[in-house]
Amino acid sequence: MPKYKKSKFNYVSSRPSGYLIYNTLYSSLSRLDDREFALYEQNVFESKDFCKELLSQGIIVDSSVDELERYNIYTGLSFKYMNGVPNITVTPTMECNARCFYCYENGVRHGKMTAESAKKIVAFIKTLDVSKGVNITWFGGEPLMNQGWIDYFTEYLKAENISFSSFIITNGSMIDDVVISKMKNDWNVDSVQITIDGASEEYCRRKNYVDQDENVYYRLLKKIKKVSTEGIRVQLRLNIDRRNAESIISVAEELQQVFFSDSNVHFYPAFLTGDKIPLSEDEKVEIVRRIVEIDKNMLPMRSYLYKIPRVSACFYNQKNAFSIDSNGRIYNCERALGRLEKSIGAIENGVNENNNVRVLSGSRAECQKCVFLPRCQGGCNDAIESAESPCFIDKYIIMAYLKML
Amino acid sequence: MDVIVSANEQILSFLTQPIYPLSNSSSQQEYENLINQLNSCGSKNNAEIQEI
Repeated sequence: MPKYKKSKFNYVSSRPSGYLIYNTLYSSLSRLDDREFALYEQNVFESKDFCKELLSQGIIVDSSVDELERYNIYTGLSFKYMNGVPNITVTPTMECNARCFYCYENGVRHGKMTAESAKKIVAFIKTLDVSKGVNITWFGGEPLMNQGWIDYFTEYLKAENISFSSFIITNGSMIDDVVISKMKNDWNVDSVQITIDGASEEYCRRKNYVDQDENVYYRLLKKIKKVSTEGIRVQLRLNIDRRNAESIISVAEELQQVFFSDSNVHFYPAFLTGDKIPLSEDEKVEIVRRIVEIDKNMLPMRSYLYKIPRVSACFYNQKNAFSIDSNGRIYNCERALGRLEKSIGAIENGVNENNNVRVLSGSRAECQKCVFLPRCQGGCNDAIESAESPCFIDKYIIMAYLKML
Repeated sequence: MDVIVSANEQILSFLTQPIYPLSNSSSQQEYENLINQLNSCGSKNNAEIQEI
């Protein structure tokens, strides 16, 4: 039996400058020349110096080591024992002033939270370990369409001495000076996520706001600037499908110009699911490569490569993460909000543990074979159930980034 | 061989050492010791990434 073998987690990219080997488990990135790569390919690790270098970067490992099994133990124990601050996604309203064709809440029952539901949610939160506080994600619908309820709910949390920080997912259309002040001073918002679906005209067409405003895109950019100026981080999610890819490229160029020097604002690509003619893997990599190339402040993108391996994919894999719709139903995934058949309980009675089935998304056979498993940990479980691509953007950013070196 | 970004040594030594210290039946304390070790290393810092 040979002493060493290649790591299961080497992703190889052939470039004019040589062969780049990125190890998704150990976060190493190395370049081999033709001769070295030939030796690597043939499992010839006899040269002591070469062997030592490969070992030091995790490109080869001891033959007796089963890295996948060990990584699975690491993630399995995390799943079993990880008991950090609870993450609660709350939907002040399921109503929205935009009518995005891709919204996964299309067709679900709408409604608004009530004062009574605020008390019940806080009572539910108090059944969890909140000794280190709680993280709240404001989601909708458009959460800013029910600001009065957010005011009431956060006051109630404070009255109950529950410390919290919050993150808001909004289309940004209702952000103004008053909202920014509330975010900062009352709602403990430290980060905002806003989706951008295209440049001006395309953005208008896709958001399809109830109240049409041809300048809504440029107003949004100004609002983002104001939020950032107040010290709140802004994550701009660029939603991409086949039809808006070129428009998104021009958005990235514009964002690069407007926000280059603003360390509180960063943008990242995301692929829409459910398209009739989905983008191929190669097409996705090429679109992301063009976006990554535009982003001169590479820090957020590069950080995708050098994080420690994921222990879970998302809130679905975290036992103390729950999403609550505006009717008080509880879910273990935010993408299930409003789909009663996916509910695992209600704020009146708490979670029905028999329905609260969660598995590590990356335990699927297909993911166990994937070189990107430590970067993605299986991706989106809801997408898997909907027969859509579950892969997170991380893999495309890594592939695209290596194409630039 | 040109090392562009070096491996995360904590993860590397933890996952590739000949005898693995954890199993599926490890205790919470054993698991937390490991996580504390890994977190002490964490992601590469921003300055280092910026240099790449």
